[in-house]
Amino acid sequence: MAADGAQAQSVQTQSAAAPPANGAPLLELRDVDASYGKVQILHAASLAIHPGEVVSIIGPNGAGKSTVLKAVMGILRPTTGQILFDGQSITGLRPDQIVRRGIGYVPQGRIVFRDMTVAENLEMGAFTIADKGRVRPLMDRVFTVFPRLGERRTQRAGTMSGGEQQMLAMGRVLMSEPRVVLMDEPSLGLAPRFIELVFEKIGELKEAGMTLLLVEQNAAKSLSISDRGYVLELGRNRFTGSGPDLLADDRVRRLYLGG
Amino acid sequence: MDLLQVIVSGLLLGGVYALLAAGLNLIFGVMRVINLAHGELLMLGAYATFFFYDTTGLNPLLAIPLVAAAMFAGGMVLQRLTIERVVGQPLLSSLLLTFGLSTLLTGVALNLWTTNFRSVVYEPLTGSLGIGGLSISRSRLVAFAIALVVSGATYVFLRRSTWGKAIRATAQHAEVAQVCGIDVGRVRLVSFGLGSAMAATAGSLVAIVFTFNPEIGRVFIGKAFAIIVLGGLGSFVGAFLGALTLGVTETLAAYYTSTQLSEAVAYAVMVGVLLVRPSGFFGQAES
Amino acid sequence: MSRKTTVYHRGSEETAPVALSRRTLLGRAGALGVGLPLLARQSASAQGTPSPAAPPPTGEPITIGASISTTGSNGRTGQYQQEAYLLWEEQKNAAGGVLGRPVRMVIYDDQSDPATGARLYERLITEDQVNLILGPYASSVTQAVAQVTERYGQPLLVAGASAGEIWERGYRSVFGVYSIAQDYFRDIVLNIATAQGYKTAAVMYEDTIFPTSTAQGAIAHCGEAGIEVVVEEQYPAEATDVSSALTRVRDAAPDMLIGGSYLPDSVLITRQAKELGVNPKLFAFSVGAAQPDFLETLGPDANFVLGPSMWEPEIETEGNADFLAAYRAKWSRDPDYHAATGYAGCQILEAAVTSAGEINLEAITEQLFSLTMPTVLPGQYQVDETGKQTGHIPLTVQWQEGAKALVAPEDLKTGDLVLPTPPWDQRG
Repeated sequence: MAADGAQAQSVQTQSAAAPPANGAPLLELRDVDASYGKVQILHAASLAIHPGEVVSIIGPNGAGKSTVLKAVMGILRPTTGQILFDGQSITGLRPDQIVRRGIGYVPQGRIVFRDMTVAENLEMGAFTIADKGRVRPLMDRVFTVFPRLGERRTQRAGTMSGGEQQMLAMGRVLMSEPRVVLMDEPSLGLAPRFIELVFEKIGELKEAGMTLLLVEQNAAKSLSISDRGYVLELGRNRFTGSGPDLLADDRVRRLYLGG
Repeated sequence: MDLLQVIVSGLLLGGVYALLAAGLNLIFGVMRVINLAHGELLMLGAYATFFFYDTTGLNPLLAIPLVAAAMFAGGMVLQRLTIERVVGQPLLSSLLLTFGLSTLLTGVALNLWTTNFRSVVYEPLTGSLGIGGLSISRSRLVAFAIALVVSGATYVFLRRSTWGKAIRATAQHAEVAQVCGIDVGRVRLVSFGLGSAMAATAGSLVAIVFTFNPEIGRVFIGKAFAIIVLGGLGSFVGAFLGALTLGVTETLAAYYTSTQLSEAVAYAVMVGVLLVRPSGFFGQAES
Repeated sequence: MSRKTTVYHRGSEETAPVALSRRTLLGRAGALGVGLPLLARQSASAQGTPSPAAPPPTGEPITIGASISTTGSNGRTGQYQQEAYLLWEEQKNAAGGVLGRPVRMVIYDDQSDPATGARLYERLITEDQVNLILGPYASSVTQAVAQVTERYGQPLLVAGASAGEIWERGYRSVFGVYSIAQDYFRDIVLNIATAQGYKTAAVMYEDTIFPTSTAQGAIAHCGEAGIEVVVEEQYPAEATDVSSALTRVRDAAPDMLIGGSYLPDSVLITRQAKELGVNPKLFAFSVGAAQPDFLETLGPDANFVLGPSMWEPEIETEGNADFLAAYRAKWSRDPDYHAATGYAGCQILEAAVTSAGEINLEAITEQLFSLTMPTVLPGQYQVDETGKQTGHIPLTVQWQEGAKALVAPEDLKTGDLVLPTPPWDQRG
């Protein structure tokens, strides 16, 4: 799979492998190369996520973790390779078209529309929902997941704390009723209590059956709630395996888990 | 009473400025393109209104919706063919492009219509209303009212409608707007059309209130930039207040110094304001 | 793009060929051609009916060169001047020519650009080697052209310019055809205002050369007549609002409001004066009052406004009726005064050449200094030692009930002055 063969994907204990190996993947990257300008970031990156799975991508800085998400979202166009969603190619589509297919994305840095209220931010999340009558119930559902947002629905998003903004960014993505959600470093730069909260909420989403693809610095925490994980290094797949397996793997521990 | 008269004249003047500045601000906000050809869009609106009146003899105010609709469409064509290509490019690219457009439109207009000054003088809109010793120009009052209604309607559209919110979202963070499923290319298209329509409406009002020729765009674009800087880049309300401030400052300066000096004095005052408030009345630091 | 261009564009100084109102304008856009030079060929043999008395001209034609702004900002006005030149050429060739020789006009288009004008005259003199030249249109172009013609000793008849500065440069062979801008308001201030017993005036003027000249002339004449200038206000060419200045004028309540202005600002001042209730007893503008467009734009609000005019069709000057008829026949439209000044320039040149008896530039220059003669313009051709026109009499016209009346000077007038101007709120 890897272009230069040297670092072919090394699957950990295939035995205890990912539960839903059967059935077609919901989202799949096949040998995707992607570049920023002249610098190639992804080298034949491949991964697959099945319905209901929570998958983490971990790896050192500069490994291209976020780039994988941007390539899926169409923010960065792959130079080669294919991205399939629900069996259909979405390679080369615009981000808004990809969102309409059912993929949600929480960008890094808890970016909200600062000059808009909480409710307006959520409304923007529901932009693809054609039936505007459903926006209200969807918003109420977000408020049950994130009660804090409900209390602050008329507050300008820019005036909220970082953790609250991250909750809003996560709430906003749910408004489009996505079939899979991509989250880029959801815990980055947050106060410890909010980091806990973020993972708690991710756990709740998992419980509710949401398919999630996480990119996280905090590899240990991330793998612990994931069904499977991919280890990316310099834009190449290095290891893959179930969350617990990866957590237990010596090489992964040594290299990426700081112990 | 004179002072009040001068202030009222200035406020009425500010309405038209506001409409122009608001459109310019909208385009900048969404596209991060400083549209140096914005004044020429006003000029085209003025000519369209003039020719409407010249051909039909009907109330020139009836031309406003037609001209605005035509310029909405024309603006979108212009955006797709030219402006869209420089979105996301360095600022210099868009400045060069829009400067080129400005020169081109002025040149074509000069060739078609000469530097002759024109004006739409529609009898019912001449003269003034006497209100408590004040003389309020009919044409300016009507122009102010229309500018107010159009600006207000645009404001409400941007605040309340889904598309309006999508425009604001795109202005605040285009990439995130895109991953909310907003087709930001279309938002840019619509915003430019909207900004063009607002400029054209300002042009219709200019045709009714002032005399104009193909070079009028340059006079007004300078004012529009001053207003945006004063009101705060990207702030709709700020642009409106900035416009009224400029109008009043200009007329007061003309009253206390001279018409010749008024513009210089008005700009000096604005520089003073910016020294105290560098980001204008409502400016927010760009994130 | 510079402000300067704007100045000159408004230029067409003597009248600003402004077309403002509905009706007149649509046709005009089409009239502007592309900027190709136009070489007017001798046309007399093709269409003129030779006068039976005169023998047909023979020999080498006398070539007369000119560049005129027939396109660009002054194009519309420039065309009148060109049409007058061509009319004269046709008439002369049909009537025995000049010195028995046919005349041939070589006319280029300077596109209203002074530098282009200067270059074209250089070309006319050095490459085309025309025998004589006639002046271009507009003071800006004329100022540039005079430097060229002066260098080659070609006498220049300034048939389309009036800025007084042209005769302050010490040129030896530049001759005015009609009054300088400084004299435009002479009659209105010295005769009309004094006769009415007016004591105060407000003078507003655009800060470019021609309007400033007319206004400065008015201010000087006010001083002469003992009329106090209570408000003097300059405004930039691109001014779109003069309400503050007019508010001050309203406070000062002068007897007269004089505008050193082109048509757009004349319209602007009149409209805002109405809106603000500024009620002087006399309104006068350097440009506008003589222009049909002023009336078309302002409608009844144009009434009572006075202004100078260099020529009017109905005046009974020598040959004017014939000129009017021939012009209408050839060009199917009425001449405006730029046509008349252009035609007068031809008349003067012809007289000087005839008196000199040969194409000798020095002899012709001498004749142009000493000659006094009637033309189609009011007054007579007569210049001082600088070549500045002193014999032309500017006319004063006034809009009265939607028609233009020639109200001064006494011996030429066709209507009576109606003063004082009633306040705005007492007009029908």
